[in-house]
Amino acid sequence: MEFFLQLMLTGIALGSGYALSGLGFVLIYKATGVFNFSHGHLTMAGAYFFYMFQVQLGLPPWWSVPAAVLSMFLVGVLIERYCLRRMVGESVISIIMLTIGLGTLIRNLVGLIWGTQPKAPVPLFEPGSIMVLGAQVPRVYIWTLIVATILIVSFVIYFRRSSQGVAMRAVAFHQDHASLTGISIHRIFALSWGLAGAMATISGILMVQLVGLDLSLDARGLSAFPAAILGGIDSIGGVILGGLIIGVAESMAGGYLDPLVDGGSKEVVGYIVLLLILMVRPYGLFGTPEVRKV
Amino acid sequence: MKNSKIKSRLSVLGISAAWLATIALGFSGLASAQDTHKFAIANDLSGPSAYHGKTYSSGFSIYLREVNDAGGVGGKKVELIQENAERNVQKEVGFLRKFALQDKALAAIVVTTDGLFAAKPMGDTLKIPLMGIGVPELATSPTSPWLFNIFASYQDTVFAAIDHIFQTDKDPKIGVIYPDNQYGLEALRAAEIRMQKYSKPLAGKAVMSLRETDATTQALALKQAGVKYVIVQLAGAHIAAVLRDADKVGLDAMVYATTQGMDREPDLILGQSNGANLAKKFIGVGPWSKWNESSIPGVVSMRNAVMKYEKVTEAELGNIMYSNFVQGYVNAMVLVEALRRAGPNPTSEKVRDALNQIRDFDTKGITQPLTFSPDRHKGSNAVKLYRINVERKVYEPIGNWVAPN
Repeated sequence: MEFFLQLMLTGIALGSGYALSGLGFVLIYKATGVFNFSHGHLTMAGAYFFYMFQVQLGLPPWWSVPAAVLSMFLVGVLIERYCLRRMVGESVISIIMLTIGLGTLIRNLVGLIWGTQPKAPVPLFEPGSIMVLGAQVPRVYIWTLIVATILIVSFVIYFRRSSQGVAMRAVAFHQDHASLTGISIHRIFALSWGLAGAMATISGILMVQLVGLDLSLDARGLSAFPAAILGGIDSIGGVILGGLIIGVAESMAGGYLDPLVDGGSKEVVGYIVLLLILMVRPYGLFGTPEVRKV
Repeated sequence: MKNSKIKSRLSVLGISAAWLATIALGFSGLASAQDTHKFAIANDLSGPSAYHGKTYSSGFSIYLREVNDAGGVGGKKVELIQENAERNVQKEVGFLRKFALQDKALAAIVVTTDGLFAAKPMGDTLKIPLMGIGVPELATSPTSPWLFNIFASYQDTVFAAIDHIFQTDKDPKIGVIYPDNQYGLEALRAAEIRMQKYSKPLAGKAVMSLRETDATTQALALKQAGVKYVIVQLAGAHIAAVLRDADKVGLDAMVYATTQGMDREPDLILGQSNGANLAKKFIGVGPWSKWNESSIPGVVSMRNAVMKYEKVTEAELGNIMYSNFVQGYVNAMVLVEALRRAGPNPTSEKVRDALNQIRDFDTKGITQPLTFSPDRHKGSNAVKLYRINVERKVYEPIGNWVAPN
């Protein structure tokens, strides 16, 4: 029972990181209609910015977080301004190829600047564990869950209640109508990309506390993609649930399946779960079915 | 009519010039091949684990620079050809063909253990001595005519680790964490063989991919199995992850890292929030000395060479002389010695035969003396155990060389 509980809690902690990263993915899709395949790489880059501010520039750990978040917000805005804005009106496949290329560029730039060896940022949370329901739970999991929850709730409130959030929802609903009401589409796009960069960074920083920092963090960040598809590409609640499902599935697979199949199941189980759910609900758990009138 | 004749002549001239240039390039390559002795490596220069191959070739190249500055071998300089195989086995094998048939290299090195095994059947076709950055026991046991392990193998490190455990615990619960490839399976096989010697079973095993950075599920599985000692056949970053995640989930176990587990300085371990405590749970086992063991004459020579050629201070040596650097340096020492013994006009076959004649080769203490013969293609089976010195942030030996039988 302890084994199951520890796997479950590990999965929830990881999944909250995926959910946070997935929110950024969904945000860009809802606002701009773009599948951003470089989101995992933004997560990784954000984590490396955090390392740079904290270790290389010597900022206190808790100052490094807002510094990295702000930096990646700007990176997101610049990506929208100088890469995506030029692609307005182009085909979906062209935009997707652009984001894939962007991801490759980000990965190689990070490798070029910081090298390919794993890095050792100073941990943000104290070591140790506490007992929860008879299972030993590392403090870092608890803190990761708390931070992710606060940020997700904050984001949902911002998205629903703030004027920018309402504007983003209006643009996501109908760009032309939103434009007619005086909303600047370009500004909303830029804000979306900036916020996505910021959330990817926070997600990356949390993942670093769990799994360390190296170039493979982009693959973890890319787990936002199945989380978003699973939950429904246009549903914020769905992506949160999707992230948790993916995290728990990976953890359970690692604990129960890996010993049977000699490893490797953790990497694929998320996509298997995604496939199974899409077979039953093609638009994800909470996605909006697309209805076209003919 | 006149224009077409001019065009035709110009075309002939252009084609002739291109043909002559191609021949000239070919001859220049041939000339260069005759001017130097060549060793070659199908390296990994660009992937996430590229630092293994890069530091290895740095160490190898530094020794060659020393040799060349002293006049080379037989009046010719020695060079190391590198191709980027990116740890792709097919590319490694392809480059081996190029090294043997086109470059006429006298010996070749590959990065991956899988690549070494893939190349094994090709030995009699390529006729070039092969060795790897990986040192699997099965590469040389049974002896293969063309494969060599310069150092003690992964099996020797696992044997030494288990022997060390049994010195203090007569009924230990030992587990193994390994990747699911030839490199990882070597450690699992070695652990099972050694446990048979003590008539005890392995208590647990867990697979961890080379791409993974999270060892939580593996640590949980071994904790469930009651494991108290974990042998990890992975790189330094994975060792840090295992120590971190074992501590997270309450797995109270000593972690024994095999050769590549000390591929970098222990900064990833010590950088954890309770790094000093994690370091106490670490023991490394390796077949060559570390850059910081400055009481060893061979290490001193190596350090001086690095400071001279890389123009760095003593304080910066640790950033250059990672574990694989030392491996590359010693590998070059052995190959150059074989080259010297191969006589004038050496070929890869003569180098192989010369390697087989090396007895008690002195690496000035970096390793135990190395001995090869037609029936023995592994230079030594001696290893050292290491702990982490938390204050100096380096690996320090526990005792002297041990040679598990």
